[in-house]
Amino acid sequence: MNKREAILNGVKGATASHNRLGVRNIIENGQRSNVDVFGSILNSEALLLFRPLKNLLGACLEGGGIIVSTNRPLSVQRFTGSHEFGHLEMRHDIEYSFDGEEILSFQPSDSLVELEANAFAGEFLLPKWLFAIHAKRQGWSARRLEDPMVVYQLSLRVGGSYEATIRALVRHAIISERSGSALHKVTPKEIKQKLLGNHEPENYYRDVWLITSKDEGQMFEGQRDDIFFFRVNEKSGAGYLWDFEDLKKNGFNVISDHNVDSGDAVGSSASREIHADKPQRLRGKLDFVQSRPWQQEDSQIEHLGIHYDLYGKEVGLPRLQRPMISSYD
Amino acid sequence: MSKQDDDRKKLAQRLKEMREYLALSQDEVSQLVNIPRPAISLIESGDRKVEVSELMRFADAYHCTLDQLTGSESGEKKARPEAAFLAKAVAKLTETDREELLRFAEFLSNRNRGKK
Repeated sequence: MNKREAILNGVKGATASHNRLGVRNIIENGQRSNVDVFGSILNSEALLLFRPLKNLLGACLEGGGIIVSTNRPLSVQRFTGSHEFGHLEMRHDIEYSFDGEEILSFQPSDSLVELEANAFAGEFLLPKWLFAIHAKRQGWSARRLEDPMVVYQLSLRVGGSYEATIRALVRHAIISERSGSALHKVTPKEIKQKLLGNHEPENYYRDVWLITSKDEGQMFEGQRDDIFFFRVNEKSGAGYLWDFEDLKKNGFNVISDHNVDSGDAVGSSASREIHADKPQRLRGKLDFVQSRPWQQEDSQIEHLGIHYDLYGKEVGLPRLQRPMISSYD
Repeated sequence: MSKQDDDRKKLAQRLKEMREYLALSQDEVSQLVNIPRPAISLIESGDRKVEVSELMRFADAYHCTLDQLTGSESGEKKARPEAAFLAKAVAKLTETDREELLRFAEFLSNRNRGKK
């Protein structure tokens, strides 16, 4: 086996795993917005645990054991888990594999087994069809996927880092290498600054989710300190207003709430923009409706409902194996 | 302290260590093993007896064997994996990483023995 064959094997293996585990159906029917790496590992009866590892991102041990470091964010935990899962799914005849930062570099490895596992990880986590599902849902053309803001939002929804998402878009030939290079020049911090406007967070590790009516019914899986930025059209000129009370019911802190007028003609629409963060309940559902306040339900013209899970990175036993997640907070 | 009390204290310590290793809260364990949370606290401090049926539920929740929880000598010896493979990669590992991997290998070995 040469390097090219190792990469092709890894990609084929990931596709076979998607099919075996029914991953695509789950995303197509809206149950998840990203590939459930940890659920897939557990479905394969492997032992999965998250523990503090300093020089390693993770390891795979003979006998079906996968350990992932708790010292990195969820997106890195997901990639590491996917790489280690690749060793198991590709039935690599290894006693152990200890994996450090090198698996994130995507540089050709000297070890064909590691190369195969990395190719598996990239394809398992970020397959072409996953991008197609999100692009269709959001109405993003291939051209829009050259916009850093769009790619950043895409990366949040597919559960990959901004950089890994760009690499995957190039690998799938959805965008050109040149566009990929241009995207790499823009940092996530710059994008977040643009999304936050005047609001200056304590740090820029926090992600900013731009949520619109196109996200109806979607699941958002982020980290504790992430900021939700709702941008919706509001027919305020005709008396319609969005009711965002559910944010307060779920204990969100509303950072800002304002209207951006698009014109002053009677009946015109405007954008309503709300930044909110740090909910008391880290997992829940938000339901917002646009209606005429004095006519209540009779006048409802639009609904936006989303599910969110802001538990972030995993620690110890996987959350899927814990009881009643909603009772954590 | 009687031998019975001593055994109970050791069992309590192992149960607490296992819970902390898996980063589970007492509330979560309470739900997993169907024992009230105050009782979990008493069990972990060695102030409450643990029935065999309860111990089996703990073993299930903690993905380990009864031997591991009761500290049966034969169980511990069987569970300790060969450490040689870890030594091979020593250059890449810190001392704490090596300890973590050894403990995980032991945990895996116990889990797999329990499944047989």
